[in-house]
Amino acid sequence: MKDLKIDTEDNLHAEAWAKSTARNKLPKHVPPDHPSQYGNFSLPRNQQNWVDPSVPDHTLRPQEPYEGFNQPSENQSNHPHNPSSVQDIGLQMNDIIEINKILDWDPRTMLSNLSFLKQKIHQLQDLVDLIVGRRSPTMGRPDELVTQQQQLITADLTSIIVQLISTAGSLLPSVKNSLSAAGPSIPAEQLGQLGGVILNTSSSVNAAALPLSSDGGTKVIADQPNPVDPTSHLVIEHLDEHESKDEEDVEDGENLPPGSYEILQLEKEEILAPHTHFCTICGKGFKRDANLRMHMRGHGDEYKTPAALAKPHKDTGSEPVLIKRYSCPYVGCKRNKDHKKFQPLKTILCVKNHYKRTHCDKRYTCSRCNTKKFSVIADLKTHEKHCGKDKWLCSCGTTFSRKDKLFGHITLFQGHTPAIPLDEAKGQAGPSTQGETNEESHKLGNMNFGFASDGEVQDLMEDVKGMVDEPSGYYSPLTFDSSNFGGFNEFPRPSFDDPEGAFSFLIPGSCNYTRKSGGESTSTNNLS
Amino acid sequence: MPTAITSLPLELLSLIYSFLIASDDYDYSAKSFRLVSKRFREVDSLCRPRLRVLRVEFLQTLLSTYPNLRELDLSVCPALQDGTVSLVLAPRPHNLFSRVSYRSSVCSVAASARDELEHSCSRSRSRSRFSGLGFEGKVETTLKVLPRWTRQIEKLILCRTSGLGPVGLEKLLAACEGLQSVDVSYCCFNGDLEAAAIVRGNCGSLREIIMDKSLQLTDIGVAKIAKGCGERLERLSLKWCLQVGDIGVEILSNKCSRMRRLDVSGLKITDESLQSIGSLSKLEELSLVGCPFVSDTGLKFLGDGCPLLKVLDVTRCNNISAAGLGYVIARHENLEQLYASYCLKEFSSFHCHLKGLNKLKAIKVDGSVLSGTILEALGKYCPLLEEIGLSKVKGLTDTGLVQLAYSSIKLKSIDLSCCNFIMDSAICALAVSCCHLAILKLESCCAITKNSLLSLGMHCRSLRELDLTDCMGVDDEGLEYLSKCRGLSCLKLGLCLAISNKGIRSVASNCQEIIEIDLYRCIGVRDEALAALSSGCKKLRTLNLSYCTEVTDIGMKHLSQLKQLSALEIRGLVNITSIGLTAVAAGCSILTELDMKFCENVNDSGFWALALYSRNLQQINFSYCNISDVAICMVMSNLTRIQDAKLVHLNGATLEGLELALQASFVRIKKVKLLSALRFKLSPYILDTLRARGCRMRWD
Repeated sequence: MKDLKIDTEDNLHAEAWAKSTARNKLPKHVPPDHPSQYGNFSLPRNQQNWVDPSVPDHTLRPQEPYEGFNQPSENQSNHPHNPSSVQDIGLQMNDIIEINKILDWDPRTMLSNLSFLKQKIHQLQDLVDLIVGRRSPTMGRPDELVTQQQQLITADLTSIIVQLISTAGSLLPSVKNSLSAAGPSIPAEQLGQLGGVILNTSSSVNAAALPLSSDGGTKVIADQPNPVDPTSHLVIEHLDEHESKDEEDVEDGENLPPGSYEILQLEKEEILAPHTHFCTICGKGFKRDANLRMHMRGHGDEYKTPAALAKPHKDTGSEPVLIKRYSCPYVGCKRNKDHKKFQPLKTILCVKNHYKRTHCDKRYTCSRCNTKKFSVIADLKTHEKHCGKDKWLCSCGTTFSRKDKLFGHITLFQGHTPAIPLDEAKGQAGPSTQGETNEESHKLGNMNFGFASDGEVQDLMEDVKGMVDEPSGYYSPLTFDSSNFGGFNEFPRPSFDDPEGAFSFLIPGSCNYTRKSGGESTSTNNLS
Repeated sequence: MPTAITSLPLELLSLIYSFLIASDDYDYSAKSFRLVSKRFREVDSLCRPRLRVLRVEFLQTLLSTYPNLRELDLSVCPALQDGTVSLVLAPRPHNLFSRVSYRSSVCSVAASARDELEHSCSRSRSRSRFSGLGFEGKVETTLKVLPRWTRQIEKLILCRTSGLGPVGLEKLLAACEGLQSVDVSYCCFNGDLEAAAIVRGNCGSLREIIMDKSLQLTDIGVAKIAKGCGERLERLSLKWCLQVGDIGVEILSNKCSRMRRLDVSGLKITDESLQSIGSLSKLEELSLVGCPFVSDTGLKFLGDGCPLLKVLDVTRCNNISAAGLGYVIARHENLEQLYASYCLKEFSSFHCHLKGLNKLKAIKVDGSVLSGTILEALGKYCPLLEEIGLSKVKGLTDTGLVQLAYSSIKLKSIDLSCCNFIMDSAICALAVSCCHLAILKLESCCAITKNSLLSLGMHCRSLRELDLTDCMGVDDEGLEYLSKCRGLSCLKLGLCLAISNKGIRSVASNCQEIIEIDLYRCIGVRDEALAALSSGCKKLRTLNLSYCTEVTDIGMKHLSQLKQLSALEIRGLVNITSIGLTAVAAGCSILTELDMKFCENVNDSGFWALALYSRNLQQINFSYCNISDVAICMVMSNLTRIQDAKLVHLNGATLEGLELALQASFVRIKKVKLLSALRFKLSPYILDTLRARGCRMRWD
């Protein structure tokens, strides 16, 4: 491992990963096929972390060669969905952000950062060491015990990776920064190296490492014998999603040190121009992306390559010189660079929406209710989707578009009760139930993911384990899980859409839920 | 001539009366009591705590007769509408339907006696009608003088009163100042408006609300209840209120922190609901029957919360496992009843969790796969076990049952239906060791022979209920052994093809306490058996003779000796004619249910007799009978208590006749089953009227 050490700042991260995993001595014991396993198992987590949680993870998961790993992945991958654990991650991220804020950007910062991580990992490392020590004599034997131990390690590593990903996510801007500083020509090689390091040292963390090398890394990974494309895609998607969140009120998780980015301030006219494509270098706006690409040719030869002129593959190869942040031209605004507590805007779209929403007239009136006004057409359209559906009415006269909002309101205020609309004739199940049931099923989807993930449930599982005095029962954290809950993922597709159907099947005596058998079949699929 | 008992002071008489009507059968006892003398009638009138009104036209009179009612049951009162409510709440009885006018005289005669009794009967509850507490917004209610009966009412049963709308409901509730419990279940169209009405009508003392199968009830209505009743609510049943979801349960748990009994069966609630339910610190009874989205995660919340939980019902919760349930029971040592039928596939390691449950009294695990260890553990750890349900359990062995029997000596009720492999040895062990056994269900236990019945007869003196339906091994000899159980009150022998008159005779002559006997398709049973039954089992109330095709008019004549008979099922008795039916109608005067489907040889004179004599009939099934227009009209108009009629495939009746018959029974009919072809042929006026009066129509 040591020979892979690279001195550049950028690769300090990589080294950190390498170090931590080297200490765990995991790669040594990982059979050659396993990288893909790890790739797979980290996939659903990312997906669930960042992609719409209602997507059932079965559908997107590639074929797993080893079912033994399928289960742990399923179990562990559910983990981040527990609200509490998500909070945990959030906390950790905040910690790291704090560190970033306090210390300036230099190698020492990085080191202290890493030591901070080391501490975080320490307890898990002990555990892994213990197991490695226990396992070494049985090396090379495809024993059942070995698999079980690997499963245990996998479980542990997964939790480490959760932390690592969050750390990596928080470090991301600085990486970008340094990468861009190095210039466009260098990274191809360097990143390749980086990717190689990552993949060679520990393929188990490649998913975690990916955010570091947002562009080059993917390429490299694609060349690997065990392609983990889905993972990388997902990670990148996640990045995209993060960036494209055009809301200025989305919490700025970055807190870049002042000076580490370039501040651009577009003029008012430019902001209000009906442009949608903006030059990332000079900020000029265009109506069409093709025009923008033509314009980009003027910024240098690298934009003249066929690749750059082709349809946007999201700034492949070349990238901005500096991280760019935007300032609102409205003096006195918090988003204006002269403000004391200046908070930069991330993208030009953010600037546009911010400026229109905050400093412009609300020109667009909802044609339905004639009361709500908006300055951004998208907002109007969003509103129109729900306008008139404010069917949730409180006795105080307030209307709500969502039932849970109404219930939150009445829970809060003494004496308020939900009002029943007068036109709701007796004996008809209003159309309202439709939306409700949909909402319900969505919730069910969420529930599903939040499921075996609970730390508390794991406590429960441990209890159960304690009671079953068999080694197999002890080692696999999933005996509990796979046997009983395996099918649950298929579950939240309830056919509750039409209330009549729901009635008919719940009439006493005719309770024939076929769903159970469906769940079973999926669980057997998982097991076999 | 005054005897000692008639001259007793009213207090003592009322005490005697209170003992008398404590039984299930209070209607009958109360009737005999009040027929003794005027004085007795006065006691009945003043002390009667419960009233179940069958005919709406007498409602007003009855209510003024019984001013101290605690419980009013209007569930079988047909055609109850909002107008009826305002009528009965009117300040003075108008006697609109008056056929009885003795009220005034009774009032004046016993006015002093009543005052004397008022003190003993009325509790310490505040009787100040005009105190204005909680009546700020209800001026018109307070200004009116409400009838006396409203003062004492604590419980209102309004099941199946579909005709009653929110307005009437609110008025009724608002009138009953001390109302603690209201039951509006099985009014399928009840919804948020009714829930709101209950909350508005609530005078502040409401503690129990039962709203089973209010199909229109949504979270909004639940929120109304939760906010309106708040802390005071102790029991809420939302069984089959299918539109209520997590959010409703959440606000309920938020606002009603003193909830003790909660029924959310059949709701599509998820673990989120259980999380909020877990915060109910006073909850003692939770019913989650058929909640398919509840999983072990939810049960975990339950395990960590609800410290006082005593009764848990997770029947048909398909998504929970033994481990999840084990987690709950391991943390609730006070659990007394656990119902987990048809929800667990396997019980491996479940027995470990049973360790702490030494207070468990009842457990049901019907339809599961059990191993002997569970039964053993049950016997070992749960010494107080009184009731166990093992119906359709797979993997049940004789040895396991024997072990259970030897350790659970307090067992009172055991259900072994469809446990096909149970042998005599298990039943013998049960009989020998569980001497308190009162209820034994052995339906479809094919391997049972007379040996079991022998040991039951020898040891189980307290056996009350025995179900031997479809037990091939039961024969006359076995019944003779069984007849030693003198206390037997319910015996089910359906599909026991081997029994004949002899067996029935021995049972009938020895078990005189029998109230219910089921002889469905016992083709060996003939008239002589009925003769024995009618002379031996004078208390018989329910008799099923369906498809005992050998029974003839002679048997029917014997049956007419049974004065207590109230439910008779004689489906497919082709050998009986009008003569037999006339005998039954004339003899069994309190017959309330009669099912004579496929009695093809009964003709009009039989139905005429029914119309003339069986004035207490409430439910009839005339499907596939030969009944003419005139006869059906006679029956439906003359029988003033008819509430439920099944009139499918009436040979001989025309559409017009049926329409007339329905019209004649508008006022009382609550449920009618008709041929689906008639759905569009019957005049819309009839259908609309029936519907408006709260009648349920079923189409075959």
